[in-house]
Amino acid sequence: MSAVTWDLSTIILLIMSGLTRASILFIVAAGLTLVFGVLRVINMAHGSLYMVGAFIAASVIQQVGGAGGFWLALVAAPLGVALIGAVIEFGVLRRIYQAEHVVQLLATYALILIFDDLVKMTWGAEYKSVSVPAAFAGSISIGDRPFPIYNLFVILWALLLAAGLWLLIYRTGLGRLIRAAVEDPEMLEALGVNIPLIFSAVFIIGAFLAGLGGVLVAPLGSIGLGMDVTILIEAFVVAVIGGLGSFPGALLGAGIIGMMFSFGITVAPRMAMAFVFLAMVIVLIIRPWGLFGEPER
Amino acid sequence: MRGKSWEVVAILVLMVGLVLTAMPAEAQKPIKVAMVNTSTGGAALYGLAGIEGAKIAVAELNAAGGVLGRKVELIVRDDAAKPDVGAREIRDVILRDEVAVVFGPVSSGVLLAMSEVARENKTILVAHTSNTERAFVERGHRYIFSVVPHTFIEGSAMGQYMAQKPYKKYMIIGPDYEFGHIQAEAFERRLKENKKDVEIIGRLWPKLGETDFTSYITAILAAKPDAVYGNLFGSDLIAFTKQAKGYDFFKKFPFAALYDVDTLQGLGKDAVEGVIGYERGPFHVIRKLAPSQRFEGFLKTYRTATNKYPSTWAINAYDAVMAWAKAVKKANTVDTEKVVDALEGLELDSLRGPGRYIRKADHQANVGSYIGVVAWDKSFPDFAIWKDATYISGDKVWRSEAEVQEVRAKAKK
Repeated sequence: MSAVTWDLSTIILLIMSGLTRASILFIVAAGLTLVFGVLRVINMAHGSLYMVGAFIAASVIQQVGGAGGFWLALVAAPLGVALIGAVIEFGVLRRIYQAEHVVQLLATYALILIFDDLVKMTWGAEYKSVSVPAAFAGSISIGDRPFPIYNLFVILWALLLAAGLWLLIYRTGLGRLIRAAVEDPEMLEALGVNIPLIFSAVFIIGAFLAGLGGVLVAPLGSIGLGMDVTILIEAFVVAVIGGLGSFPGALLGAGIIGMMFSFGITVAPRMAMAFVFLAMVIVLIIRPWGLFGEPER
Repeated sequence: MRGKSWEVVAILVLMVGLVLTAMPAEAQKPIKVAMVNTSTGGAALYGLAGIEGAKIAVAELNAAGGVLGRKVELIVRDDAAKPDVGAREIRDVILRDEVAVVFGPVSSGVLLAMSEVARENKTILVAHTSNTERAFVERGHRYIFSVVPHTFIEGSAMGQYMAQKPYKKYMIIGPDYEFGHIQAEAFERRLKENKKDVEIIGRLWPKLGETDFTSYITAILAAKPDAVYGNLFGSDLIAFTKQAKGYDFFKKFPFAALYDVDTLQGLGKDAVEGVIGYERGPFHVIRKLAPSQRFEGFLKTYRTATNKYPSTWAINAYDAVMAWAKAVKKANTVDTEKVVDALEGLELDSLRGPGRYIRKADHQANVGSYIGVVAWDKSFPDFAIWKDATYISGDKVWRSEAEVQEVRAKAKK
């Protein structure tokens, strides 16, 4: 690699761009990790829900147009995806909680293929693109370098979401039940709590987060088939590094991966992807249950 | 009543059965041809366009009485953009359906896998989208043909074009796989041959299907090149363009990349005027550089069938089918060996215009690269097209026959 001048504004810029990536990763990985923590299911179709969220956002923004379109999409797409999540939980997952992990993996993997076809039938194979909403177009200056305002918005949103999720899990009744369901579902059931309802709620929240990730990423990239698998792998790495089932873990994992990408690409572009998997391997060797996870009981 | 209606149905079934069995007895058996192409996943857009182009070609052949008086039947299979699936599907259509020729696929990795099966089974495979040069030079064989500019032609053409510009310090950004690397090498080689004082100050290889380019953009901003060459395409290029805009990237660096019709349609209003685009057959340039009734007819048929403009993938797939059909007519048989002989040196009736032929040495057509500057045009309000378009013919920039043999000899060692 050539003459990268390591001045302060370059480093800040790299941190900010790493944070942008980390934000999307956190939002998506949080849903993945939440669902695993409570339901003990790796939802392979989590990326598909993210893709559907992006497609719904594209349609809403195209139909409504203008700044209103984006705000509406920000509400409508996650809710739409949450609804789809409810259907999946009720129609598929509920029937296989007792089954072996392989069966669960196969079922959610099948959903990837089904969603690929459904998306193609509904929206076609063409690329969709959503412009950055006018309110966030343009850039601010960091030192002498520009930084897109929309990226700041995404970072802010992820921080708000992290705070909101923390409040939900640690400060509400539902959160208490969710934590209890993670710890000891049998005991909770014996106490008369409707466990299936909690499972549904958790899966719906997970789907909502996937949908939200899809909307937020829409103005940053291209919306098309295949975006499901890409995000799934990265979100999975984040969740594994942080510890499957752990929120603070997803936050830290996303931060680590985001920074590894932004600095890795600048220092040794060919190795960036390898760094990411290396980080995962190192974590798995030292703490097989992830940085914030707990050993399997 | 009930008894009566049963009888009527039974008679109808018998009659239909009779008609169906009578038909093949009268006409000759159809010639089966196959397209193994990607119709699911991220590359489905290209594969589906190719399938549509091939369907139109086959329909035209059949409307004109078929090939050698026989109807042509198109079998379509999905390779899912996976080499193992592609190899399985091509083996299946060759062994079970006994097809005369196979067209496809989208991905170069899949092409290399399919090519081995085609060679083993002595079946003609015509590439119209996937284009790694290795498939035709290092690993070329008697049964593989190409009607699409391969990676070397595309990269070289861009090298030749950019060498006329004053830029000295380049950065390269391309997808990290077969296509990206080979094309970037060809670009670099031609650029340095034609302009001695050029320096490549950095190469970035985001993975194929990357969605977040901010780190790469930041790296380019920090390195401050004179110009950036990207062989990014499709969804990667759309994401890159939108994100780079936020960093005022295009105000700082001249940028050249695969801004084809698909990508520009995807970008819509986010297209950046003034960036340099290249591709293998943009309809809006073909109709200007090589206007013909036939091309306008194809455009109309395609628009009617799909309500879309044909991408280069549709145009090239159509050309592939027509090249095979012309060779069959020339050989006056579907016998593979004779059709291969006819394809070698064949003058194509290409939608892209006259003067295109298949070179015997590497079975590569001298099709070239289209290059232009992205601009808005009143006739297309929904997506940007190009202005100042030029065409660099394949035979201007490909390897000489001697070099082809040289590369092959080296590969054998």
